[in-house]
Amino acid sequence: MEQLKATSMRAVGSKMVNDKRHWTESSLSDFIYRIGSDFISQIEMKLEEGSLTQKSLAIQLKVSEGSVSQVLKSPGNLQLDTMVKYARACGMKMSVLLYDDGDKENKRGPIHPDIFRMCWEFSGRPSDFFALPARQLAAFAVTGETAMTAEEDGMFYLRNNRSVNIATKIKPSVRFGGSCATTASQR
Amino acid sequence: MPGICSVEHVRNGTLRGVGFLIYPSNHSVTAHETFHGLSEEEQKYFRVSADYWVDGLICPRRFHGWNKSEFRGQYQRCFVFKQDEHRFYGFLLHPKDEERRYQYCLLASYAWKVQQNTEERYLRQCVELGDTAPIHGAVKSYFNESRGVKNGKR
Repeated sequence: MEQLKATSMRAVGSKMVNDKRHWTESSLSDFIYRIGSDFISQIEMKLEEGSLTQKSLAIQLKVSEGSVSQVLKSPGNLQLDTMVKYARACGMKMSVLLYDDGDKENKRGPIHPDIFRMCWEFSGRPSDFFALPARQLAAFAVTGETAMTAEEDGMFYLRNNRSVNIATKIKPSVRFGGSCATTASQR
Repeated sequence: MPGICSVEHVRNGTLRGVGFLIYPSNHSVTAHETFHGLSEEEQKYFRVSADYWVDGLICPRRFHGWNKSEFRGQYQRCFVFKQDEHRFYGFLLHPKDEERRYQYCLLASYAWKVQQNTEERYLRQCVELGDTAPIHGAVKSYFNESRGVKNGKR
């Protein structure tokens, strides 16, 4: 039994500590392997739906079927351009998303992108910030410093949260009208 | 005496967890030992699969159970994690009295798959193991210990 208990323990100096880190925290390549696997699992799900085969994917990508198979088996070696090519060949788009799930030590590992996709679909597939339901938008933090809120006048505002007491000192800093990129450049 | 160990550094979720059965005197219990003999890449693939299952993803390419329409419903408690020809067979449990929805997949046997269809003997083996009193005891003690750690008793 002692041997069993030791499997989740690691030595730190002369002490043994219970190591609760997720396996993707062991190295950068492990984290990359996991998110590469997440990407591939989405492509594989698309293939399993039946509208696309590995062969037709290879034809669209102008590569051999063996090459597609090799890519699908190498989640740790994916490049961003390869990912975009595969997404486009599947008739889809992809986003690169940063999120803060409050798990700074990475005890829980990454969140599967399908969870984000499903939330997006449940929200009616909004394609811009105007299409976001106002209630969700009000609670939506764009960054740690800036939050977007929906106001009674029907407009959206980016608010700067740098003040200590957000509730009383918050002031509208940017009226949100243009694209997200334009707004971001105004900060 | 049998014991249980979690898959190292794979998170146990609020509703699901996965681990290995360790039973040195039972030669059919080979999953844990074989897992540690796999290459690093193969272990990583398995950890991703375990993550996916714990998170509730449906991914039959990587893992699945058997429903009541298969094998006359005899193996509805059985579960398998797959990777190329590797198969890790186990059974599902609901070990937490205070949270009946919580499901734990206890992996017991390893098989190198050589035929297309499911090899029923591994499923039968898992069902038999799942009904064994010492294993029930090991599960109970493992989850009691885990609860002790969570409540700061250890």
